Amino acid sequence: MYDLYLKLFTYLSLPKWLGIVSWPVIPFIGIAALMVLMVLFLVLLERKFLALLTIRKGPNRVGPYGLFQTVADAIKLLFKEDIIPTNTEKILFSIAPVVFFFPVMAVYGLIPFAHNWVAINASCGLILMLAISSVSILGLLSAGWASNNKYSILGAMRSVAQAISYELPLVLSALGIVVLSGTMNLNKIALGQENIFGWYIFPSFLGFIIFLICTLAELNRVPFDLPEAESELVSGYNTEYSGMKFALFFLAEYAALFVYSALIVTLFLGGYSSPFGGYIFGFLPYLKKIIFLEQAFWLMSKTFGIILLIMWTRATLPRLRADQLMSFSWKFLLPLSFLNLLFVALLKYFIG
Amino acid sequence: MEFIKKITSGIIAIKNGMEMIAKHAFRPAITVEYPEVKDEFNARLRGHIALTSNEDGSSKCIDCKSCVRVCPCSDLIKIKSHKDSDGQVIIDRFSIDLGRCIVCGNCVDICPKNALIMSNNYELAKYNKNDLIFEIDDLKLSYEETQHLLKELEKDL
Repeated sequence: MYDLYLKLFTYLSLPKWLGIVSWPVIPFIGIAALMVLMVLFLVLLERKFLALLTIRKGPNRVGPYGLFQTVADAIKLLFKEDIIPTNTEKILFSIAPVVFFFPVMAVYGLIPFAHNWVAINASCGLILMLAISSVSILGLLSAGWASNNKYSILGAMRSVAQAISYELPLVLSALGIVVLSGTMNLNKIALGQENIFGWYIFPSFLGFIIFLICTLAELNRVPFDLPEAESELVSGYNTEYSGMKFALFFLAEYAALFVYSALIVTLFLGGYSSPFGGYIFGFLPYLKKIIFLEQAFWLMSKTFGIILLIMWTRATLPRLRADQLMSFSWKFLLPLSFLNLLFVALLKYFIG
Repeated sequence: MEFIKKITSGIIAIKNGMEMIAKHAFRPAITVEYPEVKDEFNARLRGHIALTSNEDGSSKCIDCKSCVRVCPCSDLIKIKSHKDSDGQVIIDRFSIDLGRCIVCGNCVDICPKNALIMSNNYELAKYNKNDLIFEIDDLKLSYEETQHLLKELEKDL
């Protein structure tokens, strides 16, 4: 593929170095396209699924079954006026959505969608992913601060406090997986769980539950949606935002939902590997070359299972109180995640 | 011990809630898609004011002007009439400016001949303010509609 790409440049009589420089960019273009399409689909899915669970119909006006609702919304957001209120920190106000959006997009490059189909195959992918995704908190805080609005700053402060306190159990339960698999490379972690009995959810079930809860908190989703609690703060840190900047926040939130679900799947549910051990495409000689399609299918189906689970909890659970949120993390989840880590380590030491 | 009890009760509560919500997924939606489908309302609904009519299509109004006197919005209701040779009252003009009507129902209560009634019609959106001045033809219900409304109202008494 690489040679073919370079040949294309010589064929078009363009300088060769341009091809060499632009080659690593291609996966990121693919990732960006995937992300935007995924978000458009996820928003529609969420609205339809929530409507199903709450005995409503959901969007059904734009296009057949309301399929183009999110497209229409996106176009509306793109053409909206970009308002910057007076008395805001103008530079910080403009940078904040980008700071919030960039880490989520970068994290997409670390998820293995099929065997070795990963944009950045870092040997410490897991730690890198957790580290990069926590940068987006900075975007939230600057958005809240720059808005010069009490609701925004309250939402941002809550969000930062929540994200920092839930980061610890999240990382500790992810550490259990590192102990089990002996590697931090997400590709190798997925390879280590070849069939359904090898999934890491079974030795570290507690870790899975903790990771799921912490993911909900990191994503600011119900029941941990205090940063944007509509009934308390108008809409949290993005109260003052409109148009494209608001769209960036919106995009990043749903993109993060997908990427965190994919991370859960990679860590606990076997990632792109098939639950039956072998691949159907592997048995057929002609289809062996496109085995990555089946692997991507498994990853996507598991990921959407997790996403639907998260939406299901959104339809069910009420919002927590701020002090309950904090004490739940520090007094309950943190000791539990230590316990989980100890259990997993002992399991690995004695059973292997 | 107390601690474990608390945790288990919490888990059971969440499980029950999730089950309940999952059951909802298999129910048909209760949404009424309004402009196409309209709900049936009870006759007690205080829709806009309408005129009842007799079997022959004439109004029951005798031009006593009780409704004009009792109306809190002063000059909403405008009535003009003349008497024919038998001494019967014939209404020439009966108009209500529904744009300013507060739908208090005083005129309906005071009407000695039950000529006014609160109908089930609630759709009053118009592009022009003057379109909201309803003349007698817009206000008058047919005999069947009147009977239906009165019958439904009597059921609730």
